[in-house]
Amino acid sequence: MKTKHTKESLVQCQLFMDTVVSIKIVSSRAKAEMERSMARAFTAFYHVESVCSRFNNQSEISLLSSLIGTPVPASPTLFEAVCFAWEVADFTEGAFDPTIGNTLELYGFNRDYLTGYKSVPKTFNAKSPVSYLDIDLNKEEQTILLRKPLTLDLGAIAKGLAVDLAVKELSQFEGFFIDAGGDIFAGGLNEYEEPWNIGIQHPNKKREIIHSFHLTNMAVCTSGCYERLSPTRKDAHHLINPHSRLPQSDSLSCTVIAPFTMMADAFSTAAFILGAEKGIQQLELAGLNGILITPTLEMFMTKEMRRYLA
Amino acid sequence: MAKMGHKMVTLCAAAIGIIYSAGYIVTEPVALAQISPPGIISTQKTSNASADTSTPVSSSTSSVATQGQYHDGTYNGQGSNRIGTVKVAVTVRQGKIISCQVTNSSTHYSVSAIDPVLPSEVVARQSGNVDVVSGATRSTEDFQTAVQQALDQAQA
Repeated sequence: MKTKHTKESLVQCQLFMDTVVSIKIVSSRAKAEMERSMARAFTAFYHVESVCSRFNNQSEISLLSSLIGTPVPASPTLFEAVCFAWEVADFTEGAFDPTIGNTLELYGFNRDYLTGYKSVPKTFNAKSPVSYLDIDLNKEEQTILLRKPLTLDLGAIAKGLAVDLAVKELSQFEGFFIDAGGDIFAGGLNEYEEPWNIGIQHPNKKREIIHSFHLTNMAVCTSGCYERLSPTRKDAHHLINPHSRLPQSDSLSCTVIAPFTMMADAFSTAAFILGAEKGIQQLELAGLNGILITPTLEMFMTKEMRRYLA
Repeated sequence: MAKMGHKMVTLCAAAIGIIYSAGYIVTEPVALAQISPPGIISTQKTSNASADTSTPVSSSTSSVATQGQYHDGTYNGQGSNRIGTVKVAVTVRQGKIISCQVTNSSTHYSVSAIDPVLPSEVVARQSGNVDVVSGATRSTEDFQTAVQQALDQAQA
């Protein structure tokens, strides 16, 4: 018979945004409550995907990308997501840039993971390169205006955003984690009543971790070029530098710890693109911690990161 | 320096708060399809807080399915990959795919029997006895066969 303090775990796993989303709840609350909250947590992923996925030609972001030169009313989700992406782009001087969508399509990242449908990349005028500065955001009107033809891509923040929304459904439980394929928020304590033990994937060895640390009520995201390789271009991966329009080659993996997953998601991408020195500097400026690993497995860390790893 | 750092955290917190408070309308799909008998009617549902704000540009679940050819229901599929065998249950409502649940990884168990269940947990335990691993987000290619099998039935 279950006592008041007996904890149980509920786990579920679903596919969203071309990744595997796993959620675990550890709690002494009723199973029915855990299941209800679990279902609500997954709806956050469905919602963010339906708004922010450029692979779905009916999503709000796809429809926005087809309306150039005119202010388009945006839902709070899309408006806030694009705003935040714009702020990170500005903070990192364009190392992170949500207008990278067309370049990604040209590198072959244009396939819907469920249906297999491949979108055809639009041909834009290469002499007029786009950047986040071509996005006008009107907070009073809640409209987004794209000054030039471009394809918005929120792939570097959407998973993180979905995780943060899902977290709000689970915060009443003693412990939980949400793992969107490696973008993680760890809440409360694990089954052993300890902060969650997080490993960083070894960039070169699939079954190994390279570092581990404990977290509670924090997010951790990793950007790495060892996953999501271009299906059409040899030796190319998905972390494209918006300035050079080439895959960034002097970083292998960058892990960032932040109070929000959307933030960890965006900054792990930005720091990866910026490389070891500038990347770590930007993390320090943003008040975040992280570790960047180069192709030769050299490690660069923010000052406080060492304390996590100790 | 601290000021700039706090600025980004504050912006992020505000964005999440606004999005969450605005709420989202989705059909209640997803996990409950697994624990209820198949064929259950999903109900329209808003999230916790306030208003029924619908999106100005329509992406609601009542719009016509883009793929056009999926019949409503829940379909099972299976495939083998690097992890082992995976089983999925794909649910279609109003012609749209609303969830892909990994069914051989979803369970309820007491804390004393900690056998890794999630594919991610299996890797985590094998790698370094951690709870969960952060890496570059893994794609769903390991599930492609299983999903395709399910979708083939949905199109039949």
